[in-house]
Amino acid sequence: MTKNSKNIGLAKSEFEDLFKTYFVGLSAFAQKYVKDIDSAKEIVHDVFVNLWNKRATIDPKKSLKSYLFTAVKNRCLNKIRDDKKFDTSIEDLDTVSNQFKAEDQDHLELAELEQKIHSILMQLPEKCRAVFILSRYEGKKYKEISQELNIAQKTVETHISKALKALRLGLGNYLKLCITAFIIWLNKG
Amino acid sequence: MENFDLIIKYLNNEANAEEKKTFELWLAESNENQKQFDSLKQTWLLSNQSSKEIQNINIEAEWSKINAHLKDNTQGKIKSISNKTYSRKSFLQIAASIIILLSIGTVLLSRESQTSIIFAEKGILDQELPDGTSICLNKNASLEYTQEFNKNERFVKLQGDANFDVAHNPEKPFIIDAGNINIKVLGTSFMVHAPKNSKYREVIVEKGKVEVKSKNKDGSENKVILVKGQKVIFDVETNSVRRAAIDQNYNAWRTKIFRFVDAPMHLVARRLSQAYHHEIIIPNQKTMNCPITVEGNKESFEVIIDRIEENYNREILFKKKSDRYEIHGSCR
Repeated sequence: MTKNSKNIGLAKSEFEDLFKTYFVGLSAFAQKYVKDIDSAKEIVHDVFVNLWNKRATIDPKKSLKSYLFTAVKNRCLNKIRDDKKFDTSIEDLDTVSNQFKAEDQDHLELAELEQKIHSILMQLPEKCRAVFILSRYEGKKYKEISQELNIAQKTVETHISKALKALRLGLGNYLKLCITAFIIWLNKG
Repeated sequence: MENFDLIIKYLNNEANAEEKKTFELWLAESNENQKQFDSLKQTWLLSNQSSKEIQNINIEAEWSKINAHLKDNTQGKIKSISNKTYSRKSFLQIAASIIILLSIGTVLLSRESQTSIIFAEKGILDQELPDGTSICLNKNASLEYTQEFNKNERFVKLQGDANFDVAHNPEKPFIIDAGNINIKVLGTSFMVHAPKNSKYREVIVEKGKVEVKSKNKDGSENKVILVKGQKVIFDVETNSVRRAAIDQNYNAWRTKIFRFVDAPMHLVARRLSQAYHHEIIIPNQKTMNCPITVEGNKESFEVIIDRIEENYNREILFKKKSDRYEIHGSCR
């Protein structure tokens, strides 16, 4: 393949799209390894900055998704290893990487689901989204939410319904494609 | 679906006794109802597979954050210190390049509204000043300037390590206040190093010309002009200035690549400290001058110190004490 400088190289706008598309999924993915959300986000930031620095050699037509997830995973493993004290032996390193291999795919799928949920919720009106997050992810009762935000409990119910409707619509295809076994497992729990 | 709200209330365990009964009756009515419930329950279960930290991520804010870290070079070239290409600055007619290494001790954090502060909190930070000068700050370094910057002169205050690539403008001299010394740029671009808590101020000129001003103990002013290949060290404790030879590892803080051949331990320690952000103390005077030969190529701090210990048969040891390292031992 002849190298034509017009065909490779990532423009700022393409980079921005890439960032906005994958940032949440990559952060969710990183969080599975490093646990702490701030460390996870920092790793994702670093990966993107690094990508930006190499942008002249990137072919924008090729999918960067797997590169991004692999890069994030590697940095996560490095961080875990570095956070252990200096006397980590080579043996330990191998154990760490091998252990994760089996879980990587699960983590990836889950992270993609979280990304999808995030983008669906982002399209809701801010109040609706906020109420849903308080209920679903902070485990707050309807009464607590209505007091906290100073709205009627009925309004809380309406917001949550609206959010779930949007999620059902948006995750519809997702359900059919790859989560059947996952849901059966969840139902058992 | 009228029963939607009811189903969700049931799933969220918010239904009261009466509502529960209504729901269970509805559910038992038909298979169709059971299917609707299952489908909604699936969504409900799926939606739970996330966390507030992830769902609260603000993409626009994250984009703004990273955008500030990106160098906007339309030709996408990676600038290296030794092979600097000035493609995007050629129109500013950059004539020479000065690289200065300077050590600075105090933190300056001004909260006045007319002051701009660039602080490299998380790591190496590239930024551009309003006059087109580009700077590269090492972790924890900060640069401060007011809105007077670029009016008649270009005055900045620096703490920490930084490289400067100063836009050419003979009408407006570029001056850096580095705590105890002032650096005036006589050429066009230069680099300044200024580690925290160091009692040395170090200025190295790679290309071009700078004037370094300091005050002697008796209050009189001391001016030194440096040209390419020259280095000066200012000792804060004794207020003395002396010329010294350049060590080729002054860039190690940025590249993490270095090569020491019989270099005195205190210099190796200083360069390692700049590169890896660990405070390193040498309690014993004798250890300070031990000649050290070691190379490093983008490796971690632990690997490097292990290598040094290994090379000297463990007669030199790096001991970790809470947040800093101490070098103990002796050499032949």
